Amino acid sequence: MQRAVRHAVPRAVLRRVLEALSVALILATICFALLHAIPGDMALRIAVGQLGTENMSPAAVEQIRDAEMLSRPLLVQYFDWLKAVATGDIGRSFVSGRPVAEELRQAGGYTLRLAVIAWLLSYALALPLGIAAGLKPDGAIDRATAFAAAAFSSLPTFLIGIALISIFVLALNLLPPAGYRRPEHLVLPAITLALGLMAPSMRVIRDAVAEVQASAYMTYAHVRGFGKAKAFIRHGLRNASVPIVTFAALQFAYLMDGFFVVETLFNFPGIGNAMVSALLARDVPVVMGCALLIGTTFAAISLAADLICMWMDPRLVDEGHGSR
Amino acid sequence: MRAILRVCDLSVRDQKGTLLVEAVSFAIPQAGAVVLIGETGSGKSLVAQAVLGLVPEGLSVQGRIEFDGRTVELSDRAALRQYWANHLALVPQEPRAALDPTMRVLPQITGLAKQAHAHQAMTSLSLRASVGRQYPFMLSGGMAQRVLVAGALTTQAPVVIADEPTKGLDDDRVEETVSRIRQLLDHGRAVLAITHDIRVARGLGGHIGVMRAGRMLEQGPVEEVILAPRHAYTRAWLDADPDRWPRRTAQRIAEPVLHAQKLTYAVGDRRLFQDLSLTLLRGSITAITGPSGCGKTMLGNVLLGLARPHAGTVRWCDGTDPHRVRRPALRARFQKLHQDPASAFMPGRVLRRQLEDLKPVLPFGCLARDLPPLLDRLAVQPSLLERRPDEVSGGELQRIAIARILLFKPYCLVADEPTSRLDPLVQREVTELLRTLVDEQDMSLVLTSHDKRLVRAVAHDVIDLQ
Amino acid sequence: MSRNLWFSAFVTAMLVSPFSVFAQEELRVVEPFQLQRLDTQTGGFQLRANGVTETLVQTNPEAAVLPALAERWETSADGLKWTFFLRPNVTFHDGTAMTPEAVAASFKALLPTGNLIKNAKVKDVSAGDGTVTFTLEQPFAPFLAYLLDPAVPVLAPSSFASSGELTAIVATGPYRIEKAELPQGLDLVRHDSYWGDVAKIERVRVDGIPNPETRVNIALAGEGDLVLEIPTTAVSRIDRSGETHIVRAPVPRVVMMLVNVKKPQFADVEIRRALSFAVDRQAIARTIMGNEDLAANQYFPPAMKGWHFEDFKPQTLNVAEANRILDELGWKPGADGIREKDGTRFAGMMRTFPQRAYLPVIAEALQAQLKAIGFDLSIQVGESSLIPEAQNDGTLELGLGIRTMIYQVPDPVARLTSDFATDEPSTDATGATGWKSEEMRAAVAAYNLTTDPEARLPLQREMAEILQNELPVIPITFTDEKYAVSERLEGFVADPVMQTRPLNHLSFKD
Repeated sequence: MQRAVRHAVPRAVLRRVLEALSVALILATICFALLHAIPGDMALRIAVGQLGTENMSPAAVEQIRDAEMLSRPLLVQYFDWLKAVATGDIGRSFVSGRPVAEELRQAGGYTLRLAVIAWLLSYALALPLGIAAGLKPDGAIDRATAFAAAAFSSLPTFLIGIALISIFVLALNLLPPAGYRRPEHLVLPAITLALGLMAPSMRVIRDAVAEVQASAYMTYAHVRGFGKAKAFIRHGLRNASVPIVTFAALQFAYLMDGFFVVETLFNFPGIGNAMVSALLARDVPVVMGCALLIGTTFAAISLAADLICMWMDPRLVDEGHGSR
Repeated sequence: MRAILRVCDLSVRDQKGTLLVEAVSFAIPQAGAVVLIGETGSGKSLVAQAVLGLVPEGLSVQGRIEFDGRTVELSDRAALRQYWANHLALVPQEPRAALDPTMRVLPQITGLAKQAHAHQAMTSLSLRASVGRQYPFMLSGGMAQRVLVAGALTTQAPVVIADEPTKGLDDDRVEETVSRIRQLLDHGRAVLAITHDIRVARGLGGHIGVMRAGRMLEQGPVEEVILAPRHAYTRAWLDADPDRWPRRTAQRIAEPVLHAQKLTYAVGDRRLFQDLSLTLLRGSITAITGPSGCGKTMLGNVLLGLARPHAGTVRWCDGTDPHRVRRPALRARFQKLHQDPASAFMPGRVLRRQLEDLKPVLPFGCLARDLPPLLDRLAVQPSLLERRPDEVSGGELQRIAIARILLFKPYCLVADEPTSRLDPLVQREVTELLRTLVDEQDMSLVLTSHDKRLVRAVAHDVIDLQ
Repeated sequence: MSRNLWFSAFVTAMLVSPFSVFAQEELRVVEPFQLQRLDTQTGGFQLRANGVTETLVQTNPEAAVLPALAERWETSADGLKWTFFLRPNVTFHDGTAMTPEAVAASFKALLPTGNLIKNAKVKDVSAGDGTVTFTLEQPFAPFLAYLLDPAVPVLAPSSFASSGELTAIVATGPYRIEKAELPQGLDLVRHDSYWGDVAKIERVRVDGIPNPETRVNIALAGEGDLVLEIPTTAVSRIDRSGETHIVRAPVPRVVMMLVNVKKPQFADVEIRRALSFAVDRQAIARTIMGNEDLAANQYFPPAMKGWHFEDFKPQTLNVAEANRILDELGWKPGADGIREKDGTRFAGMMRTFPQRAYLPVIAEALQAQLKAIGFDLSIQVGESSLIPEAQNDGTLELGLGIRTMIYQVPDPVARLTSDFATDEPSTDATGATGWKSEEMRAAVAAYNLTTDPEARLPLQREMAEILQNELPVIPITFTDEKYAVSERLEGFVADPVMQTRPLNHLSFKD
């Protein structure tokens, strides 16, 4: 057992690190290919992003073309980028001229803050509701949450956001409609994301809890004299957590999608916003930097989820157990 | 003899008020065993659940238990719960599933007791201390069951309920399990065992109660009931034990329907069988045995031309190799009977329709001509065909599946564990039927089974895939 | 990020606290532009509009050039030397005095990055005794207007690194930059030793928010004191909200149909006239722009004195005339009602972009209106660079774009030059396509040499007339600027020439 742990954990870390690298690179490469596949003059579009539609001059366009060496063959541009990345330099933004790493740190910081709050908020709602529903499948809470979950997951994020704005900003005037500087600016974006996140996770939690409740070991624990609450804490939480943690990590993908919508809607200067405007402005280094960041973050979260699951479920550590 | 637990007038009703268990009473003597035996749906498990206060939501329980001079109403689940751990212990069926997969063994069997008790219990079952530090998935099924027995011993409970302790076990394991349960008796605990396996009753001794359709047909000391069953059903049940089946005497015709040579099949690096040659004769029963996962099903599929062997040839009676010919002429005459009849029918579609679906592949008029006598022969009420697969019993469905196959007048039928999911009585009935059909239709039957006693009872030839 | 910050961000975000100390004190300006770089080349206009940077001269609402950092100026007889007498006692944001040497050095450093001012061809800038003198390569009459190129303000020496690179914006305006969060916004703080009217409000926050709906929400929620570019559709909602009211100001901006004159179906000026006759400008101005008076019957709006001429024959709706012209030219309606001539369909793809929300709507209106004369208009809405790209590779058929005539430089000739009198490739969705007029070029050249305003008038008329007769672009409607101004704000006057928002004149009501 001990030896198995020693092998399984580094193997998981190694696998995820390799995965992170490849996912990030593939993602960045796809972005590069897509950006260059869109028709149009790159330098011109960058100039629009930099100077605005009405303020451009042919000289400015040519200056950008020269400065960013856009007339080089695409493959050369790509491999130069790869070479720079290998040395840890992910370039400068075509539009702002600042190092991409700095822009990402700034935007990523905002997004991380939003993500953590949204995620915590969603689980603060989903955990009690999902557990309550799972403890009594087909009960009133289960039916109500199933309905709510279906409603929220079928609503697009931007609709939820607009509805929240109408209620809390326009009707009640309780919260600011956009911004990022004060803590209350985070409330609406976080709730918008959280509601979207909550709906599916509530069902996953409910199913996990219901499955654990119906399991033979739970019955056995009851027979052994453990009360409902005690048995659930002793056996239920840990067993139900494995699918929940796995799902929570997967939800990062949904979150990313949510960032694009929510950050644009609330004018929140995070990664989603940065990537959308970089895409529009053909800011290749920023787009590719975002792709690298998203890819590695996804793998890092998956790794964290793997490690947590391994800690919680010893079966995942002993890889030979399946053949027994 | 003093009864430690008396169950009086235990009845269980479903939501519509239908009686599922009707006024069952029995007494468990101190340090003695009571075995409740019966087929699926006989209500024996409900009795155990009712005593434990575990009957599913929606069912109502009446009756009472007398325990230690006290009387507890069985409808009062809260009161029953107080008896758990202190007075009643459980050795659940499927021992590995009953343990929390994420928790080490020792704390689980310790439960509310002192750890020293658990150590002691483990030692008394000669479980090493290291077992306590393992996780359930690291234990074999037998080891897990021992752990659960130790768990029962850890408690002070004088009565231990063993729920289907031999379910799903290969026959070699049955003996072992029974002796494990016996150890509970040796420790002075009384045992209530729920089973469909007469060997458990024989092994434990004590009292036996035969249940059918929610009623206790008869009860008494095991030897008495076995030697002189008062009830016809009990007798039939006892006779359903393959050991008691009459030996087969029918003649074989030395006419081969299939010839296989040097068959080899491997999964990855593992050879399931190698250089296996066999000949199937008309009117013969060939058994393929071996532990689960040894390749029994695969060999059947190879013979039927459904799976290609890695080496070797199969020749059907017209000389074709089903693995070389795209559509062998005799395709329909080499048939397969599935283990689980429910999986061989489309759920939700009326059975008659499913039989009529075969019209295009049968000779014209064959269905209308052959089906009624076949149903008659197999004792299938024609009205059953108007039902959907989930609305008939497992035995009936298997008989309909056989009727469907016989429409094709098979030369060879591969029956893949045809009775392993059936109760002993039904198992006997279906096997008998297959046996007579082999004689009547002069077909060759290939029977895959892990039940050595069954194989011994019916097969002419045995292929053991070890 | 420190753990403390995280914790407090989380805890406070959980608590809904609509009141903040800062919010009550600072002036909150919301504009659609996001500042990408803190330099004068890309952000010059925003920096000047918000009162950070200034230059030697300024404009009044009539677009007349007035003294600013220079008190007065002189031109040499040959028109090559412009000498500016600097205002004394001007201090930069860093407290240093504005010296002639500093001003000259600032121009020397920034002129190469200038935009329109390059047309003035400045050869040299030198410092004198309280003066700065510009030497031009050739006489350039509208030099004062070109000096207002926002990319070339007067900056303090501390703005530049020793290498000459621009590293900070240390200017002379009523507000200085305290903190820049790019591209989201700027925190400005009052320049207490400003030479003119010292600002009444100490702090200003400028946010760049491109999404119009978000700006509307900010205005509705009372979260902005001055919100720019409110879409027409939101005007009545905002006026009803009670938090803010709408201030409209006409701006010198035209929405126009760009026509590729090289395409056979548009080559003939008569066809362009027919197209123009088919456009119901009143209807578009009324229903889409919310103001019928904005209909553009000629290229320049009425507010632009000396460029708009009442006596021009207006371009108005006349479908019968349009059909007559087309019939005469031999464009015959086909089976589907679309005209044809020599196998060429009377059709075109109109490219436009959604950054100004009204553009795609106007395109659809045009589609319906042009159908009446048998023209099949299809629409492609894309990025704003779609049009110049198509202009440059020759694939443009039609475009719908806007031009702010005195954007950045308060003399229309600057934009006329780049839109209608140049061979340079197109970079914005504003100018003529495939159209070339020697008369226009001659008029522009003459204008650039004419100092006397009276003598300029006939040249201005000539230029406007060429556009009116030749129709290299077909004007559709003018626009007005709609500001949402919070009720607590006092003193806001919209600047119709869009050079600055005099933030230093604003104050809060008590």
